[in-house]
Amino acid sequence: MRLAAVRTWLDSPVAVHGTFVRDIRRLAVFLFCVEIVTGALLALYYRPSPEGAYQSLAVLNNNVPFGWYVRSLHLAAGHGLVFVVGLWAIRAFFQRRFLGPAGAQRWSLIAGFSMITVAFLLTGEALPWNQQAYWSTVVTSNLVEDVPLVGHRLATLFRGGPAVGGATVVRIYAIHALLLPWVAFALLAVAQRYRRRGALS
Amino acid sequence: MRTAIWTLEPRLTRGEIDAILSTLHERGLAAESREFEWGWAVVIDAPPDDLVVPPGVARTATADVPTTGVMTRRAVLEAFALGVGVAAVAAACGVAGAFASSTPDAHDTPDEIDVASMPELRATGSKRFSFGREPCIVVLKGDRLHAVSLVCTHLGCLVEWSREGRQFVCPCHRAAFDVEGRVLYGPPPRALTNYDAVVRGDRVVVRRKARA
Repeated sequence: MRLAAVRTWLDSPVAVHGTFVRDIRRLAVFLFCVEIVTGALLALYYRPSPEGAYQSLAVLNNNVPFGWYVRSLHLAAGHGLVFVVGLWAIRAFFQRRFLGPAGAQRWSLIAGFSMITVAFLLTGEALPWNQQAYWSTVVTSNLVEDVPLVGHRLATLFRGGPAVGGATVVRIYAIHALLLPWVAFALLAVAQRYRRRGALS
Repeated sequence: MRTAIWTLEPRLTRGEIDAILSTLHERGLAAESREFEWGWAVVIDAPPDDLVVPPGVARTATADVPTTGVMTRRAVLEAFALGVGVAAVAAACGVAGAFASSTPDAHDTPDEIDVASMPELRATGSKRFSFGREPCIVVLKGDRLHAVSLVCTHLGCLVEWSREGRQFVCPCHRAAFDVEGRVLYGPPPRALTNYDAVVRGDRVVVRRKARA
């Protein structure tokens, strides 16, 4: 029975020492799940347009029941995720996880998760479309511009035009809410496959 | 359920008691040490008949503990944990439900509001009002009505209508707008938000401009 499996899982012994470090990936997955749930809720009210973004978040904060709570939860869990993934990468570095036969794969995964977390942060930060969001987006787009060879095209793709503007909000929203989650799911699936084989620990 | 109670000699140290307990645990028995009025004892649930009493035990006794209608500590804690878990999930669902069932359009400002009467406006020349949260003003200039938002497009200060200068002046960064909200000088990036003002009978009604 399914319930028996849950029971076994709940009754399985837990190490007393060093559980935080050992379970740090589990914590990251948990925070990611929080992000999915709260993000889906926020998407019910957010309007990805330069006029609507700020206004819709003001309505969310002031009029929607628990709106401020869900938004804060999304923000806090997001920052927590960056912190936890950062710790995971640091731990992997000092434990020399990049060595050995599976080291390259492991390290690629760690780099992938780190980058996607930062990408979530950068795009999410821009969504309120206030002054800070606007200028951080300008900085991000300038960073993309500096990529060798394809930088200009990539930046135009990111901005949806020659400069940061109304189209950029829609693009950032699409990246944050549609593109990046699927990349994250794919990375998690790959990580799970490695873990099954015992390569990732 | 039968329970064995081994009363221990008072000279036993904590370590020796733990040693007795661990040998019992190794056999898979539920045993724990407990302090009674007469000293420390080891309590063993459902002891097998071939259980050897180790040295250090002063005397042994057995008791029949009724098991029907009695919950073990573990069962109580599990039920409590289950209750807390169910309550937490229910609370989360409640929050999500309340969050999702709000109607954002109800918080939108109405499309038009009745602001003033025409004679009143003729007397004063202008009248402030609020369009939702936004402080606005309607100005009668000549025989034309102008309804604009008072929120400066630069950093959101409230501009003031200067009757003498026939312009809106922002006190924060020396900016000015004309009566239709267009920027005359200063740092604002665009004109003040404009609304349609119409006369309906004797009343002045301000409408949101049709969305582009």
